[in-house]
Amino acid sequence: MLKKTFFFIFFISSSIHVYSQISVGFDVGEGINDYHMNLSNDQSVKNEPGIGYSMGLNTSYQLNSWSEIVFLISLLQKNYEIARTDSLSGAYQKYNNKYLQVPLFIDLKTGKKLRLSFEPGIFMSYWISSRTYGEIPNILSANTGKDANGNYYDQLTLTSFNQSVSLNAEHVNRFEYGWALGIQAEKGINALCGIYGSIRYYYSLSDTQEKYVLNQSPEYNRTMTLTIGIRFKTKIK
Amino acid sequence: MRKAHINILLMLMFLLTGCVKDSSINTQKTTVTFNDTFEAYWNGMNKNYLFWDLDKTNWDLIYQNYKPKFQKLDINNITDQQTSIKYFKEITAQLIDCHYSIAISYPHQLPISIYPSATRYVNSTNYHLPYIYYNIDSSYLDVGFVKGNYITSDQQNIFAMTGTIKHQILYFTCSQFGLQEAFTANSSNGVKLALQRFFANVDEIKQANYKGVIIDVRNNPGGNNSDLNFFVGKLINTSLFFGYTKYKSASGRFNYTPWIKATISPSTTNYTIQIPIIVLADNYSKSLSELVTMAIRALPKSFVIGEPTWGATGSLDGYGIYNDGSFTIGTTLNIYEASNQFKYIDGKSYEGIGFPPDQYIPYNEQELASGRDEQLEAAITKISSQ
Repeated sequence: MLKKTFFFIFFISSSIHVYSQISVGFDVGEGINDYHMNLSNDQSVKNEPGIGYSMGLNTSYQLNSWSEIVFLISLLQKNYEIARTDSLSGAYQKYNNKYLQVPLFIDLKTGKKLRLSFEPGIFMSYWISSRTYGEIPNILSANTGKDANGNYYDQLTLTSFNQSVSLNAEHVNRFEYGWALGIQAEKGINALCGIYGSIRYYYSLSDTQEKYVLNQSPEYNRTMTLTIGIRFKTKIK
Repeated sequence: MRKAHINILLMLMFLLTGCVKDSSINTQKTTVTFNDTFEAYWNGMNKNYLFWDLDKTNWDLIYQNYKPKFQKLDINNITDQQTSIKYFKEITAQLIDCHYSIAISYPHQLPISIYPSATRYVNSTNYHLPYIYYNIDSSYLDVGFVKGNYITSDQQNIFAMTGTIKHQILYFTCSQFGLQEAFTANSSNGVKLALQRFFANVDEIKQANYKGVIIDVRNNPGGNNSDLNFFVGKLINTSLFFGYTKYKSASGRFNYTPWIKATISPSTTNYTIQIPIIVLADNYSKSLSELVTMAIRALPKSFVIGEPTWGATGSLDGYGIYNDGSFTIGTTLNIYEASNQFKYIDGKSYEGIGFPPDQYIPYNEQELASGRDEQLEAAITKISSQ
């Protein structure tokens, strides 16, 4: 495997001087994040994916007629929700997590007028900030009621909250890395400019928590972004 | 009086030795091992216990030290069962959750209960027996005071008493909370009558020229959470912010919801009580009694007299809605613990410590035996001097 990788890199590198071309561009779009956590022992609860924004600047460096290296700096949200179900539906806690992410892709292209790319890659990201909001049954809001059969019950009201989350260095791992995969379609407007649409999937391999207790269940982000962008090409000699 | 004292002593034996003698013996031989039981207990505590961010107990070290010990025990061996109870007492000894207890039911054994905060209290220098104050406090009340009982839907016998002192001070006490249920009950009952009288007196504060109010929650173990809004809500005309609560949000040891504001909504009153309100509390004021004490202390012209409260400031989820707090392990262990953490408006948690009085008047058994309640007298003096 290592040998194959080496030859692949060597083959691409050997043709760099022939087709060198730099492109710069920016893209915007949305991301959907699925946060993997262990809720198997919890009752009436489910983990819902969260929608967030994604925006980024990219630079690509053409290696040959069918491949280029793409480097992105993107700001994106990896949001998720812990929602209560059954009789507790309506109660929820959402997390909006802002990340600075730097993926590196190798674009393998085909086509001329409409260029399609397959993009394997890797990424690293830094967790900038987190905010949580939602509604939770407040035990201190209890009010005793009586049903039609004369049985007493306590009714709790939902209390809303919206606060920033402290990213405690002892408990939170702010650095994330993993592999990425994307597909892209690009349409040239003229010789130096093109518009494109991308779908990229980021599969984190790192736990969002520091290892701070025994028997800890790891928690991961899995994020898919859907973006559109514009790219400008500059030939270099 | 003597009989009452013996009853108290028996109750204290139950509370403080942590042993519940029950006539039903579990005769089932179990196939579960101590290894499985400890693993489930440790993980359950890891997930459900609310106070890991405050508690000094090193839970990882507990796992490392006790896992091998439990592995060596046979759950169907009576000697090993006794050893395991000793281990559970050691493990839980310093847990700050003052609601915390474990009811253990092993095969061929009488059920056993471990209550760490009670064990700590009985070994403290402040320790004294609980005392039923209303027997002598009725002598301080003007003629025409109202007292009575109510049996709640969960078979708790609640006593309440209200009246005036020197026709200038309103007084209310109850043996535990379940007041809203008593008040809304279709049938007439003693607690409802006492509440009607007290609320009517509160409504007449301005006209009657009362000088102060005394709310007595001594020896009150708490009760229905709804009474916080129901009872304190009658003393306010705007929302009362008195602290924050948080819960566990996921399975991780430190997965918490954010702190959420704790406020009490006013009931039907349309004025603010401008006269002093004094809460009498003691070492046996627990749970909701402590929240009532803290909530009233957040009002202007309020004051707490007596002793620090028990220190069980969290609440119990009797509703099964929070994925934290109490849990069971098969038929063997029943862990009873708080479902939320409470932080007072001063930013401090009084869990495991107790809410301190503004004026400390210790329990005085000799004075009480002679019919004199120094704590109540201090409250009367305080109001009279305003």
